Amino acid sequence: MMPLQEISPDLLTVMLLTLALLSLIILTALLYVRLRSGFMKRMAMNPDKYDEVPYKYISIIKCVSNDHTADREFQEGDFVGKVIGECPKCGNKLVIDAIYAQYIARKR
Amino acid sequence: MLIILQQILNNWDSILTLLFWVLFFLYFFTDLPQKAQLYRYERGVAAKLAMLEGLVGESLNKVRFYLSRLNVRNYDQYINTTLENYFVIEPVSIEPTDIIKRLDHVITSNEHKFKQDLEKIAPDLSIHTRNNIATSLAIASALYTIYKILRHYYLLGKKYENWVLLMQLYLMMPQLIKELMPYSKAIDGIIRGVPIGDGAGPLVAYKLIGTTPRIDIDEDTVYSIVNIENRSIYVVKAKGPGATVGRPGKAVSKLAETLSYKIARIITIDAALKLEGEKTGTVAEGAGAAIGDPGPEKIEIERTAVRCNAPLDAVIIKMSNDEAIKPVKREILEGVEKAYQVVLDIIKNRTNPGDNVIVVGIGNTVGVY
Repeated sequence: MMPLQEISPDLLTVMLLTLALLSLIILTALLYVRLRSGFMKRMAMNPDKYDEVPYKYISIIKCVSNDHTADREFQEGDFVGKVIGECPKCGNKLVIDAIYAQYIARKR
Repeated sequence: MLIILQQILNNWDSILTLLFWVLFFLYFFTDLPQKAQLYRYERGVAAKLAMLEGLVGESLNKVRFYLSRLNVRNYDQYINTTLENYFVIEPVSIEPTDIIKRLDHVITSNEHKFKQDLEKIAPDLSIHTRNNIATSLAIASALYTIYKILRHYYLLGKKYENWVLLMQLYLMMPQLIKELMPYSKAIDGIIRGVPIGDGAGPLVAYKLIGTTPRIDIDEDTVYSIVNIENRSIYVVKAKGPGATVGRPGKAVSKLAETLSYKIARIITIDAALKLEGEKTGTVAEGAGAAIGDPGPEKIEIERTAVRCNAPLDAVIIKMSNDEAIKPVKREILEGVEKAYQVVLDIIKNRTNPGDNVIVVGIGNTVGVY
């Protein structure tokens, strides 16, 4: 094996530059392939890094005769089937027909 | 110093060779690699266990906060007792005679004990609020039990330097943590009284009966009667809006008895686990009793169906494990609507006017009347 001191500095510089250039070309190619395969999109919503957490609860209010529907934010004591008043259109019972949560992705 | 450095540089190939042989010897003729790996596994499992301990603490704090908000006294002692007690020993199975009755008896006794203890510390609270406390505590207790078991295996592996045990734990822990995280989040929904994914069955039942009066039929279980195109539909569900699953099997059995076993069809609706890749809220229809209990409730429905010679339809709404315990998502609500249409279709097309049909909405009825 050639001792390190016998390699001329010029040759060493050329070797290092070639190595750096090759690495750059390989990295660019890899990045291109990954981008094409939707990698960035998957990274953005990687389930390993993000949790789905409820941030808002919505109560859907409906008239029992089906002529009025409205949404409002969930209030303490709400439940599906709770009578909350009278329909502004027909005067029939207004009930909470459904409750659901809206989720957002939050970093774990 | 410079001379030594120069000599080293001149002989760098021989130094590399020496280093290679030292590493070769250490790798193949000592236990160092295994020890290093054992240490790595042990540290990895310890870190994940600490994370799980944090989850248990977070869940218990949520329950504590809820109880203090409800002005319940001495709740700390009650919580500690709940975490360590209330286990069920399975009945003898080598003699199967009456095993369902014995299993049912053991489960019911345990539930009664739990409810009585809860009633003692919170006598003024409504049954629905007490059910919410019981369910949130059951979730925290489940997390704590899993933590205790994992800690047991971790300490066992460490004690006996059993690297196979530690390696298994090390490989399983990330998946377990991901599966257990939603448990802690689920408590928030239960405390607020928001319907959860498992409540898909009671939600379909609600769609059928609306606000028609509920009639008590068994503990925590009600039924309502509606008329759909001249068929009498008996809709059974757990008594809401507290968090409970009721006793749908016993209710179906009692209802069939009062109807002199003249039932044309029994339809069960439940949330079911989806496979990875399947869409949340997908509705599927099959035959059998769609209910995931240890056995006593399911067998009652099956026996009733056989006695009445009534076809048993199962309608399931698919969701993942964590979606089943977290507050209902929009996709699950869409699934509930689809399941409701499927049930209506079964009633209209597979029964005749004048028939009695039992529809059972299986699942936790938190947030659903």
